[in-house]
Amino acid sequence: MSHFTKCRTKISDQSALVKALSDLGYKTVEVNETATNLYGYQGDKRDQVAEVIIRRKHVGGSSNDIGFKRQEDGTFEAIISEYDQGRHNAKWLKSLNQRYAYQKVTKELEEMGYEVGQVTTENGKLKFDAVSVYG
Amino acid sequence: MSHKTTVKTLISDRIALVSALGSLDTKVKTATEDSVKCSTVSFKRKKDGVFQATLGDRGRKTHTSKWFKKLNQQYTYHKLVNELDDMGYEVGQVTTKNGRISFEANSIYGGQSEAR
Repeated sequence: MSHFTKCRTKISDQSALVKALSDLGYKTVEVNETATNLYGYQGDKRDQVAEVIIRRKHVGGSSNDIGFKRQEDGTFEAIISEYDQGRHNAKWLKSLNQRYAYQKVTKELEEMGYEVGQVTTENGKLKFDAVSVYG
Repeated sequence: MSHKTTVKTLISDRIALVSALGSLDTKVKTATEDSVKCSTVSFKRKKDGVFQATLGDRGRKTHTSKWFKKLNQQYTYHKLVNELDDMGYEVGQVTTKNGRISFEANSIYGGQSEAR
């Protein structure tokens, strides 16, 4: 049985997290109001629970579920099995953080009445150009 | 008799609002989570979470629609800088002009983008 490990993140916005996961190729992500159990690769129910879950069939063959559990401070903690950390490692979490930052900033700008134009993301750098719809 | 005017805003973050007012040289007298008071304008949080501004006769002369546009722009700037800082980014050059905002931010953790 693959052991689950927890990794703290700076991610707090659920909808931006789901969009960031989609950017990384996970188009089917389960979002639960109440944290729900994760499952292992053999379909075994685990003790770990999460609100945002990529079910194992979408992660890959022989994979376990990947979860994101809301913490008391509002941030999400990633729950990833030892087996899946081969691919979903620190580098993957960096990419997720970068896509999250992009999605979060885009959302904030749109909420403030800006149309987001040119956006560049490369090597940990974000470049934004946005214009207010109010002039 | 003094007449009060209310102005709806898109502002919901109190900390960024206070910073934006500071950027426009508008001194804040008191600030709580749901209320920010200056001498010529006050902001109160409504049920939907956004702040509504209230202006008296003197405030209407100073805080025109142009001023509110500038406040919106400064608020956006401060809100983004705070958000990006929380996410581990350092914000570099920021340009705000004629309703346009352009900026660069670098992750303090570095990192390559990876798409699956």
